[in-house]
Amino acid sequence: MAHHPLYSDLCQIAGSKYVADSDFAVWAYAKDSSAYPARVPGIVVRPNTAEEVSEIVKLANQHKVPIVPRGGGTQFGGWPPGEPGKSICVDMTRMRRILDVNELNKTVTVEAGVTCAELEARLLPKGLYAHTVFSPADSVTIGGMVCGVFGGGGQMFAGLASNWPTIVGVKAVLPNGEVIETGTRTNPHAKMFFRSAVGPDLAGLFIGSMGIFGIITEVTLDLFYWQPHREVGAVAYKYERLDDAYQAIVKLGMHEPKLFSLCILFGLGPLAQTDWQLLYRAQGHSREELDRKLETTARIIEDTAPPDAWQPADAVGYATEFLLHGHDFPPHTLGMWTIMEFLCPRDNTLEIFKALSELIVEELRGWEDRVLSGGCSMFMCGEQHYLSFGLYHKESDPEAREKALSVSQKGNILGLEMGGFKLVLNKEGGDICAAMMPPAYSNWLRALKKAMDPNNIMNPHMLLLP
Amino acid sequence: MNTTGVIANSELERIREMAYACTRCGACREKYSGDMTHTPAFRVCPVREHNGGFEHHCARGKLQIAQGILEGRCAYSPELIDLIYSDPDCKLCTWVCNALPVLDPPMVWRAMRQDIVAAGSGPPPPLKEIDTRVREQHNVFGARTDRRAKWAQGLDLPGRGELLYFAGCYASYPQAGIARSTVAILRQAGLDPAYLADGEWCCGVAQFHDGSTALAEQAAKHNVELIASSGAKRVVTSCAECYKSLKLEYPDILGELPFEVVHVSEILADMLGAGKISLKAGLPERRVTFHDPCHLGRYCKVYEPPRAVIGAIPGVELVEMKRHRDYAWCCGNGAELVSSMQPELASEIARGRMEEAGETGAQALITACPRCVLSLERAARGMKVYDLTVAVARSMGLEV
Repeated sequence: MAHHPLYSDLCQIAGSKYVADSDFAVWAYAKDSSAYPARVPGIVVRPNTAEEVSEIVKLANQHKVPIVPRGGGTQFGGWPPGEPGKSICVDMTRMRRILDVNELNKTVTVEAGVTCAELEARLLPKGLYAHTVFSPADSVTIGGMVCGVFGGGGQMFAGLASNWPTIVGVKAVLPNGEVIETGTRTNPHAKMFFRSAVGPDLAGLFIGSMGIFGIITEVTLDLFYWQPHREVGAVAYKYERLDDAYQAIVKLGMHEPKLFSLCILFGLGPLAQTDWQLLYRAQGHSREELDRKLETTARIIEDTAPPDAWQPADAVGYATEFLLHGHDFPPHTLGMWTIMEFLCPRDNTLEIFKALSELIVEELRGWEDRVLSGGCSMFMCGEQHYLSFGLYHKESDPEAREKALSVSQKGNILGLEMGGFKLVLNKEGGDICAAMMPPAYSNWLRALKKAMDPNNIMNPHMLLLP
Repeated sequence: MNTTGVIANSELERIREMAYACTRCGACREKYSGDMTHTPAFRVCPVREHNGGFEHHCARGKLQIAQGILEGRCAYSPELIDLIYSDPDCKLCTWVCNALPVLDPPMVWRAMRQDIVAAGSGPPPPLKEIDTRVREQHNVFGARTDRRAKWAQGLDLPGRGELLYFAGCYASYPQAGIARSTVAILRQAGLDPAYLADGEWCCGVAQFHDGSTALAEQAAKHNVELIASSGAKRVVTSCAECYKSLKLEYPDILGELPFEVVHVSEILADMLGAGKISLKAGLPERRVTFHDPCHLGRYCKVYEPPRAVIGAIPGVELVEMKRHRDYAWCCGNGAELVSSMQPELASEIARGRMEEAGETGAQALITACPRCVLSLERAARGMKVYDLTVAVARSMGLEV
């Protein structure tokens, strides 16, 4: 088999052990975790350093060959197209060193390929943690989280919250191959210890960018002390009506100080038939503190709706069921997951939730056996709500796959039109959002991209860009 | 594209749903474990770790390739065939995937290998050579058949009996000490094991995994008929691979067997519990660790009996490696697949495992499979490696 035209050059840069271009090797890099179609790169390279990444980018520029960066490969929005059969897929998972755990400045600096799970595993024994995504933590890389997962869902132990405020800065390779650092590293004598810098916050160019402005090679995150909670407990309630359950979640979210470490409203199984389940988990340094939190929680919940609207349920059973069905990645037994996720303001979360539910039920009429509308949830996420709807289908059923994707597309458009904010982007997911951008904003984005990447090599065709 | 002959994909088609069951979550690349606080992250696939870390070396990527084969997007090149054969089938990906019975990745590789063999495009030469030896000499070494029972010389073992010891190739040839230790222990407990003498054939483990199913079936039929004719009601093996073949593979193709199959660790634990044997002396090494053979552990779920036995050795402290039981790392052999296809990779995997053993502070490693002993001994760098039977015989003061 003839090698990719840049095979030898890439071998020179990264070493032949870390370059692959056989048809099956590139095919294994053709999809993310979604049901969207495969897009096959021409060659895959696994660099070890920022300098190697820089050399790869310079080479790509020289030959005008597109680059598609890749972290854990677990996005749900459709794999970037690059230029099928020609692109260089830069697999960042070889760069997985934890560079600096600075307890004094409370920052941790890691290479982009470190997974969320590994970072957590390395930090917790030191009594520390950083905000990362919680699922699938085994695969999502920190680089992927920052540039692709749009901030992520937060970390289970600390309650859910957006990650964006805890990103201190990045080191990135620009489309011209130059390496830059943001934040306080704009003073070359300073460490990376603070997000703000002289001039605008250019770290934001990379956060959520899906790699269109460069390849992130290092990330610095805020570090928090992890105080082991000696006592963990939960309460659970079952509701027949979504409105009643929603009122409870709003009241709990408004309570200060926050009582929970996890609060989730979820329904499993076909949407039309689901009961609504509210799971509320709290932690305390003592049994008394935990009991106080749980009692306050129960009082708020029970005072929010008439007694016939809810009934106490098995918290452990709920937690297990939820973890099985949603948190720990969709179970293979249900099939491929097509997901619609939104960050919603409190004032119209319920309307969005209901409208999406109705749309899904209506769209799947007659398809119930082939596309399962199982699993929807509403998390507390800081002061907002995070909605998630999952559709399952058998990957071996192409018609069901098309149906799931079509419903997902309609649901995503509806959610955006109602004021939700989409979290899962990548190719198709990003295109839906980009199509709604005001012209002035998309022109600005286009101009920025053209100025930074004149050869359009860095993850082209994303966000409806050329 | 340099492709091989036409491959029909009939076996892969048969398990098409399984090939498509992967949701591409990537847990088969590395795993943090369900316990969110205490288990360090670790890499799952030994082959991926040692081959540049590409997707096509982990289950997620290979399942994608299987789909590509079914869709006509990928073809079986010699390079791809080598890849499909360079997997230990250690089942660690199956465990972390946690989707049985919907998804068992090594079953997909096995189906692909069967299709490759059916088309005459495999197995690759190193495994074909093993197949030839097994076909002609009925052992993986190509050693003389009439030397198979040499290990039993002077033991005066009967050919018939209710309990039969199935020695397997490794304990019959290079590691006769394991076979002799097993027999000595059983006799000390008042049992009178029979054996198949030179009539015993290789259990066929490599052929079950390399796609040479007809040859494996031939071995299964031969061994089962011979065992049945010996009057055995119970068969004990000291080899984890033989155990898995007899316990899982044989009934799968021949139906329910007329005898029970147990691993020596199970029978030892039972005998200790019943007070039929007692371990008197310690080992020269006080601190030991245990390596779970993949075929004994993840395949057959035998985890506690060997630990119970080790725990009964006086003065010995058992310390676990970071990855143990379901999470145990492979020894590198992998049903002869990796050790034949990529011997240097097999050595690297074994070295990694021994380094992990060293991190526990153990002075010796005990395992319960002669093939694991061989792999790990070669990588030991000074640490003593025991088969469980040898350690027990020593503790019982038995001369073998």
